[in-house]
Amino acid sequence: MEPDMKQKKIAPDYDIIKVIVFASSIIILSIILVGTIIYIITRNEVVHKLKSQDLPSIVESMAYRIDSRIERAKEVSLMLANDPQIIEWVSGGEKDPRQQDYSLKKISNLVHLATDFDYSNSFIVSAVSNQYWDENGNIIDTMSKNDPDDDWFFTTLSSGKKVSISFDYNKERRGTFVFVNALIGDIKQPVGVTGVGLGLQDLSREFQDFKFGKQSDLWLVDKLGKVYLSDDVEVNGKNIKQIIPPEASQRVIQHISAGTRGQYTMEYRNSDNQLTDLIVCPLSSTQWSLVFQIPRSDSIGFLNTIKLNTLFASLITLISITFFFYFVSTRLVNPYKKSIELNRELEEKVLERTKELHEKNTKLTDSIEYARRIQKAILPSEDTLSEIFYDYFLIWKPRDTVGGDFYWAKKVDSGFFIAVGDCTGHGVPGALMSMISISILNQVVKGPEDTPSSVLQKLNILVKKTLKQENRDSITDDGLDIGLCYFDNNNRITFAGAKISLYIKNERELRVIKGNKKSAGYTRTSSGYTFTDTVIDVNSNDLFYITTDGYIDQNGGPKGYSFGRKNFMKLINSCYTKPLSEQQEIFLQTIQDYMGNEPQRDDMALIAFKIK
Amino acid sequence: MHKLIIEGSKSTPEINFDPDNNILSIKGQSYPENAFKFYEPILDWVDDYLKKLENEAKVQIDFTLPYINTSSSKCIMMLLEKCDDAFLDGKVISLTWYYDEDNESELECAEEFTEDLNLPINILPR
Repeated sequence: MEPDMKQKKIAPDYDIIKVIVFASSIIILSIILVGTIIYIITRNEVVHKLKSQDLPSIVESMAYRIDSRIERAKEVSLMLANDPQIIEWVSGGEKDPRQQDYSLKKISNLVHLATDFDYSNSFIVSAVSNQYWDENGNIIDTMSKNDPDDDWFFTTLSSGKKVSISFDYNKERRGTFVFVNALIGDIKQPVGVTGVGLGLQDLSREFQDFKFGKQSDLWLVDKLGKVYLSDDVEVNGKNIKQIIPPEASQRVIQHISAGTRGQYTMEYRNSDNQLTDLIVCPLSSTQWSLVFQIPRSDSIGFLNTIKLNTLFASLITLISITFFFYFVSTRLVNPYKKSIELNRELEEKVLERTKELHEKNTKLTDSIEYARRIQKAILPSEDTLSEIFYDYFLIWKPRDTVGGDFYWAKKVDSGFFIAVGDCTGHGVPGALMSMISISILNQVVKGPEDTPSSVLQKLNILVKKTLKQENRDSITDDGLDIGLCYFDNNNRITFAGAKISLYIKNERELRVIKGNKKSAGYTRTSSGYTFTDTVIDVNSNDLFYITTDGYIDQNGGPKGYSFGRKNFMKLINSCYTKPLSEQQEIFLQTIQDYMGNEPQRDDMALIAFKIK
Repeated sequence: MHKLIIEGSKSTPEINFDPDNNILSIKGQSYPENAFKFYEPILDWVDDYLKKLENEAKVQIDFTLPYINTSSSKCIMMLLEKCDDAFLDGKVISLTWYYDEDNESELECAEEFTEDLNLPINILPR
């Protein structure tokens, strides 16, 4: 058992490889699935956060700053408008020098000293004199109803609102200004307008710092879509309709002009088909809104890094798992070794259990081998055969240690008898039959008066008698085929056969003398059946062959058919001139080659001889 | 009556007896260790079948037997004799024995077996 086990190398077979591939695929798929789901969830959360928190907080912050600026400007303007000295000075037609001095200084200081607040200008415009006083103390304009540029003045006067705000994009100054106008005196009958102009240049710069994402935009937009302030100077003064696709700008304008208080988030695809997020935040102090937009890819660009890193980590994990499993399975667990161990244990168990059978089998085998010795003892010895033949070879190969094929020889004064027989069956039953047959032959054959045909007839009768096969209803129906030759010392042979033929080969021809068509001993062969004698003259170098059907009916070759008589005769013809010892080899080898892997089908007995 | 179908093996032929279509087919080499044991149920079936057979029915027996050992020969002979007796009794039975031209002993075997039969025989190459 041991050597066998060691030779079984632990080689991977296709099933194991299939399992490994399957397991790996499952792991890879799981990782991909989990990774994808996590990525999708994360991305959605990021987008959600972007829309609900990040974008709003940016614009809110910005809006707050702008709002507070404007609120402060409003306060300042109100202060100016409510200042009694200024009211008096304007009402009085700007005559009082002391009041004039005071008022002009006031607005000058706002601009020139309070630089933190970035009031780029300040003004007092009288409704009495229509004169426009600026922060430098000069009258720079006289309001006229005919001048469209002065419309703001008259509109403000008649507005009835204490404070109002107007945005103006000033081309000369290249900037957006917020003018806060406060009515001096009674709202219904104001005497003038005063206020400050707010430069939002630094706000514009702050826009650039505030926004995140290189490709984002931050604009201050009115309800018609005009951009008053932008992080990008080139955009100032344009309409958003010129910048973003019509459908999107439509929605933005709609929302701004609707004047609703809350923020408005939306998304659209820009001219490059990039998905862009946009948020509109109205300023509480004015009718304008802040608009912030950023391409989606900018805001969630960082996710790509996560994606890549996750992929990388997964790969590392997979490789580590592989190594780990490999290590565990080969060093620690090693299912292969285990299974071979198990196999060995099972084999031992099986061996134990079959020990009894094994012993019985050995007994049987021993018994049969002993039987073979007895059978061989009964068959003619080599000496006997050498005595009666000039030369011969013999092939006797029972299929199962003992068999039903036999050969028999008897020397008498006038010559000798030689027979080859094939009893029913093979193995033990065949051997028993051969014993009976040989025994009867010994009994029946006395001398030359016993012609082969008479011998066969007696054999037929006696076998039937011995096996009680005299009628058709007997329990058994066994018998034998036999070919029997009598050689007298006068170079003549007499042959009779029961389904066995005699082959005679010489230079001229290969002659076949067929036996009778009935076998000896069977119930079908009546006791009265007579066999036929054939007498032939023997010449020197005549080669005689007698064979049972074992050799001829052996199957093999490409179609698994019997060797056949034709092949047998061909074989005789081909090696007739060779010495008989060599022929024995050839006959053995030929049938061996023809058989190939087929087992021996029947007992074989073949004798070839020369008598001179 | 039920069909008799026995799968063939290396040493036993395939038996396919169809009582509805009246076709009895034996195909394959026959050299079982115990021929009587193998052929007994087959012979019993044939007995039963022939007993129940009507005179109008046309029975076709198809043999393809490349090799028959001695003990099987007896059984095959018994089967053929049963059919022959039925034929002489008036039943319509014919036998076709197929042989391979490459196998000389097959033709000889067919001729030997059918020599003494009365029912119509056809020995044909396959």
